[in-house]
Amino acid sequence: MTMDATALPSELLVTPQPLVGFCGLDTARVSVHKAVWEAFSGSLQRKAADRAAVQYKLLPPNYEFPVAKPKRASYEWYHPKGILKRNWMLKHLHVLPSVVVLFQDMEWNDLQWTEKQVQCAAIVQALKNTLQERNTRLCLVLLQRAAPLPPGEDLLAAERAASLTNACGITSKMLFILPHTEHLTGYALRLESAFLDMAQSYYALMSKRIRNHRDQLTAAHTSLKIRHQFKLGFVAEMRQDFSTGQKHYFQAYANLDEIRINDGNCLEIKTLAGFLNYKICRLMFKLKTPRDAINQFIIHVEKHKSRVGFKDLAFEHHAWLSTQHSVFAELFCEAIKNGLPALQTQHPGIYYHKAAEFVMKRRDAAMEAYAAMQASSEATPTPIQNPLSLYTEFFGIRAVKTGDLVAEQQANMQLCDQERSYNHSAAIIALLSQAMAQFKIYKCLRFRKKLAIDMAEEYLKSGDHAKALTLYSLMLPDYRQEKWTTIFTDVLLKTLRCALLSGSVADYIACSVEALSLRHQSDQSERILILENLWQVFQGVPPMPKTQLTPEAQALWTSALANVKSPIQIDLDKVNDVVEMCATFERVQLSNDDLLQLQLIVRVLTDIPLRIRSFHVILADAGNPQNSYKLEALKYFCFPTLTQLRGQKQPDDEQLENPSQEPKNFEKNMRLEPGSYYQLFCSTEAQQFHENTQLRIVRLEAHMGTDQVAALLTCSSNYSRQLFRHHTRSRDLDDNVTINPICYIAPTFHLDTQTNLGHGHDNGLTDDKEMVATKMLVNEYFPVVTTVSNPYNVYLQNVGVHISIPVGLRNSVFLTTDISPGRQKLHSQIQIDVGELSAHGSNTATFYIFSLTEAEIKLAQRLSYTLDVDRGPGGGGSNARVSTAPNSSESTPDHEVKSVIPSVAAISPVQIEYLDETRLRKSREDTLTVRCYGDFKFNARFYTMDRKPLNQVYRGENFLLRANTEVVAVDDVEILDSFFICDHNLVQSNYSFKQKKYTNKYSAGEQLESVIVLRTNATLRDWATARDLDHRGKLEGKAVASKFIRPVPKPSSEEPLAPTPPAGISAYMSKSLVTKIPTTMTIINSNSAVSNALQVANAGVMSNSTQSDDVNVAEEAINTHEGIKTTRLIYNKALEAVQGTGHCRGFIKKIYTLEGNPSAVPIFGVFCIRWRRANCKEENESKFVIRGLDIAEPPLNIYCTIEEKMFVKMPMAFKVVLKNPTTHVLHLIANLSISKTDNFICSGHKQLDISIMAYEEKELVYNLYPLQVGWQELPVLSLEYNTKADPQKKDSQNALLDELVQRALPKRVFVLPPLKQQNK
Amino acid sequence: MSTYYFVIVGQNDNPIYEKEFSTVNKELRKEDHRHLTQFIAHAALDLVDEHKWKTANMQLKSIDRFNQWFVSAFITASQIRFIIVHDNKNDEGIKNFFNEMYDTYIKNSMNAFYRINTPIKSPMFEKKSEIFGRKYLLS
Repeated sequence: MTMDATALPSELLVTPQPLVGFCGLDTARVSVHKAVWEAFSGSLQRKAADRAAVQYKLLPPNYEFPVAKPKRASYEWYHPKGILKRNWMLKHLHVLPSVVVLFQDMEWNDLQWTEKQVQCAAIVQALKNTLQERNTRLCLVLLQRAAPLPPGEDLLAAERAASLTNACGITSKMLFILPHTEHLTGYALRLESAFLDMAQSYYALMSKRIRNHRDQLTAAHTSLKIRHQFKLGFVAEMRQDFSTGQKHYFQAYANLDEIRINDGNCLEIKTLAGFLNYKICRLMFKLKTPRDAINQFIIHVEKHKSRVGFKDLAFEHHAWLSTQHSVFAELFCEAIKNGLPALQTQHPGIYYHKAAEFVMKRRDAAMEAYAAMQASSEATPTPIQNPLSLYTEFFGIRAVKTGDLVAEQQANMQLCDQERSYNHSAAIIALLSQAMAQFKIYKCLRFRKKLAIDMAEEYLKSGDHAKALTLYSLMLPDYRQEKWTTIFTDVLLKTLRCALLSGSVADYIACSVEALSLRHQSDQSERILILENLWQVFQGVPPMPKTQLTPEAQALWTSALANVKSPIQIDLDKVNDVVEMCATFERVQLSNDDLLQLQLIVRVLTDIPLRIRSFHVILADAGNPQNSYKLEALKYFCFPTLTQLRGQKQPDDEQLENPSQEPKNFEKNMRLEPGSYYQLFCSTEAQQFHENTQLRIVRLEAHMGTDQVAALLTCSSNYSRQLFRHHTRSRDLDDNVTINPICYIAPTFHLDTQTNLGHGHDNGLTDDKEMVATKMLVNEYFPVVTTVSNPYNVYLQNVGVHISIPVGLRNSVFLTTDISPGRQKLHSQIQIDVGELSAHGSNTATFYIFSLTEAEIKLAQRLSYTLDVDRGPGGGGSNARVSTAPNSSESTPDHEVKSVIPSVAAISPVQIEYLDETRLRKSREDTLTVRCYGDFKFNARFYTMDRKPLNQVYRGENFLLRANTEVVAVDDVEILDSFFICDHNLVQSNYSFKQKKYTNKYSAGEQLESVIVLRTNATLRDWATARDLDHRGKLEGKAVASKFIRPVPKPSSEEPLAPTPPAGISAYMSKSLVTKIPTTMTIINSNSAVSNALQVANAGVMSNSTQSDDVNVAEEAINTHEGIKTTRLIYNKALEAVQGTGHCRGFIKKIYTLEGNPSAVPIFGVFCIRWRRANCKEENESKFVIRGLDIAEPPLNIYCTIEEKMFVKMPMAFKVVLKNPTTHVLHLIANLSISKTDNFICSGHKQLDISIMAYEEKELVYNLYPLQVGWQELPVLSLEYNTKADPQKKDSQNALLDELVQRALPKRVFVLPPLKQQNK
Repeated sequence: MSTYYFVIVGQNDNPIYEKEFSTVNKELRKEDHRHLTQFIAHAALDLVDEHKWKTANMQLKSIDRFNQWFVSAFITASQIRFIIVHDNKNDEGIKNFFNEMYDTYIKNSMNAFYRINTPIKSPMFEKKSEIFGRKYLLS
């Protein structure tokens, strides 16, 4: 029967387990019985690991056990018809139990004990009768509610147990008690082990009985030996003795070799060999000897693979081999699941694969057998018989009478009919799937691909073309990548055939195009045939002639061609040997109004000509990949060789050779010859694209086919050069074509600017001499005139100029457009709006730079404007030759290509900002450079009245400030005035004999000098600021340098307040401004400064009212004595502030208080110089901050007044005023000593004791009468303390008095000759 | 009757030389077994990759079996694989054949105009292969 060869019986595949039968349990109606049954055989309990391998069966009432056969006295004449009966394993596995357990509900204290005992004895007797001649064990279990009492205590139980065993005829070992309490499971487990022991003894006895037959067998009973060994092995497995079982199975397998094989018994022997091999391998895997199992299987297959049996039934043999391999593979998988490690060379996939191959052979053999049967049985009608008619009770034997040829032929015919209904392809595919899974696990990926090809081929043979096509398409890229041409060709042709049979137009076209490649190993005639079929598909006709295509395929193709979705995309990057394409831009950078040109180099790599409908190049914006443009090639050149293509690159040679050569027009479906180079041209207007754009070639397309059906051959533009290249005799395109993959659309900026920096003033009032380069000076409002012009034919709007100062110069350099005296607005950034500029229009803007430092100033200038643009398809000047519009939505850039090429940053400094669809703003940043030169070099020192350097000044003492100014300006300047604004704690007066008149012009290098007499009425501790009072201790002991040299004045936030040009010039300057819109405000409001100064000044006045009176008195005295008073015009804002505060000089104090860190030395004042350029009216002012000295409290103030001019023989008053600034009474001795030369006649006290009260003055008056002309030594006045009146004074203090006298009194005077009138 | 299919496989699994040796008519054998032997050789590369790190010997011997076909392999230090698909046992002859072909391959790769991993089209190589095939495989 076919079943014997194609599958193993299920009873062979399971592990044998002892069978225990249960009687007397009514699980349907009695809950206790159901609980007992669940305790033994419940699925939950069986999951425990400690449960024994036992199979339970619930026997129904009156169960009929199989009757034992009578024992044979001798086997001499017994010759069985077969080796193994079909029902033997089934009987012992599921029918005949080894132990029969009878359950009875009997309590020891049951009132009806006698009746139940009789009934139980009857049941036991019936079971014994049924199991007559069997060795099945019998036991009785009493179901009771209470647990048994300890032995010896329950006399009633012992008595009744003995009575029961006697009545039933059983021993005490066969009686058990099962209390159904809450511990039922525990009792069940103990009973189960008892049952297992009884089963083991049953099977042991069974083995013994089988083994006893061996003595009666002779050499002729080989089949009986095999049967007995098989039974012994089976029973050993029942007993869980796997090692013994394996030995018996192996012995049976060895005995099979002793049987002489013929066609009649071949099937039976192979069937039993398969059974035994299965058992042996299974036990070997279980016993952890996998190598032996594999060897056993290999030997098994080698031994039987040549035993075909009946020639007509060869398919049965292949089926048997396939079953052997698949079953072994499953065993292998199960062993691996249980922890067996497998190798790459030995794993279940190998056997699954062999099983699939044998099914293929089975199918071939079946077809051959069926054909032979049909030929031989045409004259004989075939009766339809029942398949069960071939059934016998032995494995591998059919119910065919030996020797009856007619019956054998009919049986074979019946088997062939059954075989035809079997689905071989499904079996092959299932086995191959399992093999693929295994080969994937063990990393045999190449073999897995081969299995996939086999599976696809199987689908193709079974007629499932769609699945075959799917599998082939999946495998095609892998084999293409491997570059194994022969294998790839085979797979490609099969894929093409599947596409043909399944009516897949896209796959057919793709495979046809790929089959045109020279890599496809076929003849040119075959490629021509493929191309012809391809063009038939393009024209909407099925590819093959009608005679070669089945009607179903014809209809399928007709339907598919009607619904095809055109064009079909073919990626030439993967199929790269059909057409070679590369593209390049003509130029790397273009302006907005230039012509964009591309070159496309095409070469057909196959050996047959191709007709291409059109070529396209897809461009994309590198910065914005969403936008893409498609350009079509319209012109072309054709070059037979690469040399001519290279020669075309040199225009001179071209002109010499072919002066009149013109590119030809590209026509639809043009024929491209193989081996020739085609140079195609694409061109369009550059203004179609956005400005500041980097165009990138994304993809190249070749359109092939007709309007109805077409193929789109696409390849990316990644033309990557090889880094390491080999020398080749045939040159590549690399050596002949320059590839420019990116083209930059440079934006156009429509504004030009010119400034007067370095070109002189545009001021009409200046002389011609000033038209040369004018240098900018510190503290000057320097004008800058900017001319903005538009040289293009474009209407510009919102033209603006934005000027800003570098961050590093924000506190030193300022910009302004308003220089009127009433509005002091200084900014760091200004915005000048020019407005609108028409074509070729221009306009000017003027602003001023004011700098406090001598540096090179780089102003950042940004020009911006807006204009209307029209970027639609119908825009002005668009190229009509472009067949497709820009911004085509049909094409999208290739994402793979986009990720490869990085985006290149913009090159142009022009920034473009799109306001909306039609307007854009352009801006560009430039740098204006102007050099600022110094104006004056200032140097100041302090001196005593006798013109000695001064390190420390005493309160109330007169001292000199000598200010030296050197002109360092490169241009001539006019100095209008210079003055010193001192702090309100100081009193100043002019040193009149030093005053000079200023000339009109000063050049570089000239020097000026001013001398000012100063006096202070407060020490540093009393300086009129609250902050100084807090830091009184820090001021003591700090020396200050006496020399103040500051070539560059220190910047201050208050200093910009000072410059104030006249109102007339300001009014003139404002006319030259076009517009002014402030964008950032850095304005210092002078009104705020004035009000703040007033507040501070008022506070100062209140706190220093007493000292003010002293100051006024002292100043008045000096001025009266000198007899000089001057009144001058005040133009400066600073001086106006001083007058406004009532001469309290509040702004200087504000300067001091604004400093973050209070200085240890106060600021004595500001020295101002008012100046202007020669021949200009703009006035400027330079200021220099004068830092002060340490002020100490003196013991005595000495003042001296003397006439400015002395004449010979004219009396002159010499007055010395002594003032006591302390709170104590001073006792002094004054001595006036006349020099030895006797130049003066002196009258007055020569020696005088002086006592000065606190805060009082003492005046010493001497009358001098000069006698000689020229420098004369004055009489020397010396002061010393009167130690008699004041013993506390010491000699060191006298030295201090001498110093004070030396500082205050002059030593020599110049005596003029007498007046002429007197001489007359 | 014996058939040998010899292939040299490059580093990218691309065949750079193919040769078939047979004692029967070439055309007849080629029709039947050309694709099958190539599929077998390609699939056997899995086992070559597995064996090459387990032995220091360049001769990998018989590494695979596919029905009646055996696969013997030889691998060079530069990962070039020599594979023979054959249908009868000839270990000694195959071993000698591999050694001789290895020498021939080294001489051919020293040619300055030959690039590694490209098909070998040298007439001398073809001639040497024919000689060694007849000497060691078909005798």
